[in-house]
Amino acid sequence: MREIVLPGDIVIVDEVNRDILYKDRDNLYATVISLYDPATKTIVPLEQIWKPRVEEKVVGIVQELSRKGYIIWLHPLYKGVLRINKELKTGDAVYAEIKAINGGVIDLKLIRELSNYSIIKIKSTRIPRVIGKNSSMINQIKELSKSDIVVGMNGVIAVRGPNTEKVFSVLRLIEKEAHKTGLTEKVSKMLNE
Amino acid sequence: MKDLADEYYIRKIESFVSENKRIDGRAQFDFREIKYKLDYIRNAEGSCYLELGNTKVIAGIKIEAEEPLESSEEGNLITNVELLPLASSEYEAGPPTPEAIELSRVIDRAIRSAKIIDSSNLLLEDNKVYSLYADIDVINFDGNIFDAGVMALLLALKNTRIPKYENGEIIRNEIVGKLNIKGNVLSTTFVKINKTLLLDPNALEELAASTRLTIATDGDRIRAMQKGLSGSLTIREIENMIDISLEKYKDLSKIIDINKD
Amino acid sequence: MHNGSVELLKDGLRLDGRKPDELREISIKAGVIDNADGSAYLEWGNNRVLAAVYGPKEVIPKHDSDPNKAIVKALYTMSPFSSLEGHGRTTSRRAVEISKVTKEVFENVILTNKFPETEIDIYIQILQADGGTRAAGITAAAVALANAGIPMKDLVYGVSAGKVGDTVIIDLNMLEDNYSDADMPVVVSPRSKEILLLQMDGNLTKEEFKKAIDMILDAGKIISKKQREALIELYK
Repeated sequence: MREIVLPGDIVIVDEVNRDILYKDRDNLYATVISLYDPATKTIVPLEQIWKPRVEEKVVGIVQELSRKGYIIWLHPLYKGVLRINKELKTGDAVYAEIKAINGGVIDLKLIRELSNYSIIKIKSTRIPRVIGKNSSMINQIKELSKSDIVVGMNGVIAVRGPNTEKVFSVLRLIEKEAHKTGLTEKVSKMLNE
Repeated sequence: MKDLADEYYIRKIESFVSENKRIDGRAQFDFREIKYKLDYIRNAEGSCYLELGNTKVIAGIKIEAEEPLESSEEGNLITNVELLPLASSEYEAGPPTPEAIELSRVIDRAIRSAKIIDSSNLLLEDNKVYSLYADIDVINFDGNIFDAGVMALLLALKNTRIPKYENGEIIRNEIVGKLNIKGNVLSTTFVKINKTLLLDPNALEELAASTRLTIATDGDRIRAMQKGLSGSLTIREIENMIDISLEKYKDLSKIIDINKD
Repeated sequence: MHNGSVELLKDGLRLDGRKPDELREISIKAGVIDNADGSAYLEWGNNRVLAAVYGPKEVIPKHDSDPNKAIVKALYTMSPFSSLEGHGRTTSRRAVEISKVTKEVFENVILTNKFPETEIDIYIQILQADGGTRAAGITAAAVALANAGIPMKDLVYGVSAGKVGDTVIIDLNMLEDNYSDADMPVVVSPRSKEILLLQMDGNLTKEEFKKAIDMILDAGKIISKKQREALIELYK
């Protein structure tokens, strides 16, 4: 049985994720609200602050052109820099990979521009659930909604298609109920309506 | 609501407006849903919690016995809006910003110029009057504090109990009556985005707006106006907004049920 | 022994009918302020408290930032209409002191080293006050921080104990606070039972202090449960 654990709750896990666990003497404790499975000795955070990592793919928003290059908004806490010769429009989205992180500067490599996409931000901890096992969830959403959907590990998702509002409601549902079972059915029902 | 970069939202709002739509599905001159609770703060002499969509405010009235301010021999009204830093990442702790002071003064003007507070029962004795401290705390920000503030304050004033005054002191646990409020005043705030006017802007619409106009009326006459931001308005636009404002007064006064006594 | 003019205990019961070791009603709701990264609303007797957390975010001003850890800011404010007494006008020295000790509590429990060069802001707003607001505020702020996903060593709670005559009591309301013989607000890390905030005025014997701490730890079980329920409720 999976259970919700809170900061200060003792856990026994096989893999020690230092970002979400705290060691005191010989014991490990949760530090954020998490789903803990004592049988498999695994823990998955339900709330966690996103931190950029090299090679992660993100969706960002063009803010301005500076001397260093285009400033790309990634997260309330983090902005990236994109050095390209092409002209980008303020407010447009881009899909990019984090190339390097040097002294607070996040260098990005453009994968592609996302002009005229609608954008939503959900909790970054929910992104694995949005993608699903072998991309099953995201493929289902793309197919049923006939949309192009680009998912950033920073929690930002760009959508272009006939009914972006509906896709947004589906994404918000996944954000809210990521830990529940039967989500795939709920999502397909919503999109088939 | 605003969890992405401003640049994206400004573009988004502008594209909605160009298609004669609003991001939350409302028509051009619709208010958001209004909910309120009277007597929310029992420690205050009068209070009201009010939601205008996702904008959430609390108005609280505390009464003191003090010397009359300036030449007024009518009892004092001291209005203050507090943009609590917990209500938005845009608000900082510290002394009131020009934005907060403008809000306080415009809301104060609406109430004051409508002359709805019967000052005769605020006079105590020579050089002593009741002071009404009207504080409006913004606890979640989603645009249009003006109208939410005026409504919450009006409702709080209409439900204010007056404590006893004896030998120069306020006796809080003895109530001598209710504050007498005659008439009503309500405000309507519009923003202009490109050439389009919108009533009751949310935070994103305020972000994209070039101009703002607040009109307070008593249903018959204009009682206060305030134009804000650096854009401009045509006289025709202003006349149009005055018409809508007078029209909206009727709807709002029904929603917050202020015509009962 | 009793130094006040109000009789606070009668036939072993307090003025509001509580037993000496009985808490007031507590209810907590998490995630109440949409704009905040984490938030909580708490009713504790007649206290009404909002807590909100913003961050980790950029440090303003920048030169305050610490290359090794997040800086924690806390601001405790009373709404001007919150008191049964007169209008509260300006930031008081009391509020500044409470903000400081609150900040120190959370500097201890937040794993600030995970977010160098950032700032975490904690706001506690007392909408209605009836004694024990700093404990109530810190209890709410702990829930708001967990709600925000900010890593912490523990979910802390606060409560005060005090004394009327020779009787040690828990969770003083405003009237008791004004006329009691001792008041001692305490914040506890329930996992380690370590004390993160301790203030006291009045007079207590060492035995009374021990009794007060025992009462606080007992009451803590109920407060912790309310905090947990508020957070778990969000995932139901």
